[in-house]
Amino acid sequence: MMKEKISKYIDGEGNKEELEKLLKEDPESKEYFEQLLLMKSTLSEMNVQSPDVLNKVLEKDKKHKIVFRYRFAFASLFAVAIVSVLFLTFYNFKPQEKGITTPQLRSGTQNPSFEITAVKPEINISIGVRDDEILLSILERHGTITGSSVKGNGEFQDELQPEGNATQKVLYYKIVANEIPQLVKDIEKIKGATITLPEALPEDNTEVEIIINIYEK
Amino acid sequence: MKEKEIIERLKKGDITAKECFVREYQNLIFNAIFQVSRDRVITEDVLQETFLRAFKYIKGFKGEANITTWLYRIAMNTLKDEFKKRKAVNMLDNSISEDIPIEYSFDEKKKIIWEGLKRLSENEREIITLVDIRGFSYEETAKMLDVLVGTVRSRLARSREHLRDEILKMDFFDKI
Repeated sequence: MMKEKISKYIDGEGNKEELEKLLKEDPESKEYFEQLLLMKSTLSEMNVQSPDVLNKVLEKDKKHKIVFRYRFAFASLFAVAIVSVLFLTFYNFKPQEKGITTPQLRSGTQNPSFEITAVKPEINISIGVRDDEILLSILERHGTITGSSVKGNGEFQDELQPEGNATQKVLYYKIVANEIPQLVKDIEKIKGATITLPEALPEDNTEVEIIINIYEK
Repeated sequence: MKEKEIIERLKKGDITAKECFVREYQNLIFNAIFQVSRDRVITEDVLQETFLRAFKYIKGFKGEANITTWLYRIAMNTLKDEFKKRKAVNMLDNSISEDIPIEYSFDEKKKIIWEGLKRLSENEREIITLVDIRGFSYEETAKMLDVLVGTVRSRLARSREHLRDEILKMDFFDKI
């Protein structure tokens, strides 16, 4: 405790009167005080001159910035590459189900190629067939359209004379709500579609629900 | 350039401010590191890294602490990192290596003190460096070390006593 008081005292802290009294009365404390004073005095002269590191620091600072810029550029490129790969993998190359709406199909200049198949497609989408032109183009592959009319309220009627000697069929079909309107794409971007008709074309006056699977270009 | 202006300009990456900053603090920080590391090469490396870190993090300096305190803390953290790095590659233990040459500019008295300091712990050397060599107040030292003023007072008293005992063994006081 005495030593801590002396230590404080040489830094100008503590009770001066108390310490002076102690130093006067106790030779051991006085000796300790003088030793600390001398030690402190020598320590205060022990500052070492620093080398001038200014140029080295500025040079390294400059290099750091360049390295950072390169890293940043590399990281950005890397991120763009990853995003591109992901995009191409999951969005562009993979066949996706897409809904279509009438106005887009009607305004299109390039008709998609369609195949009619009885085989269940990979992904089935039930959508309403609004576009009689498209449906007609599909049906024409099964035969000759002998009559066609729009009945309103999203209902259509077509008369189909199938290939060969099959009996002429009158098909009624109606709009079914589009299940995936958010995936609707411009017809220009449609590469093709697989359309699944019922196993057998229905008899007259039967509504037909058609499955269309659309592929993006 | 005043300290506040230097800091503001440093935040904008001003080269002149960087020059002023390094010139102003390199001696102080060098000594702070040197007394703990006792190695000129390590000290110089750490000193440079300290300034680079300071440039990097100056934007986060809000002025709650003194800039010296802030810089000193960066220096000590950098030194600790350096020790860890060297320890990891078995180049240097956390303790002081025995073959480090005594500072060439020291006279006999200072050489004894230097040898005495070598025998203290890092914490003891650090506090003696701050108060007795660099002349910081107890309050400033407490902020730098992130301890209470009372801790500084008692730790300093113990460190001084330890150093006194060590240099006493080397007849320091007989040579006066």
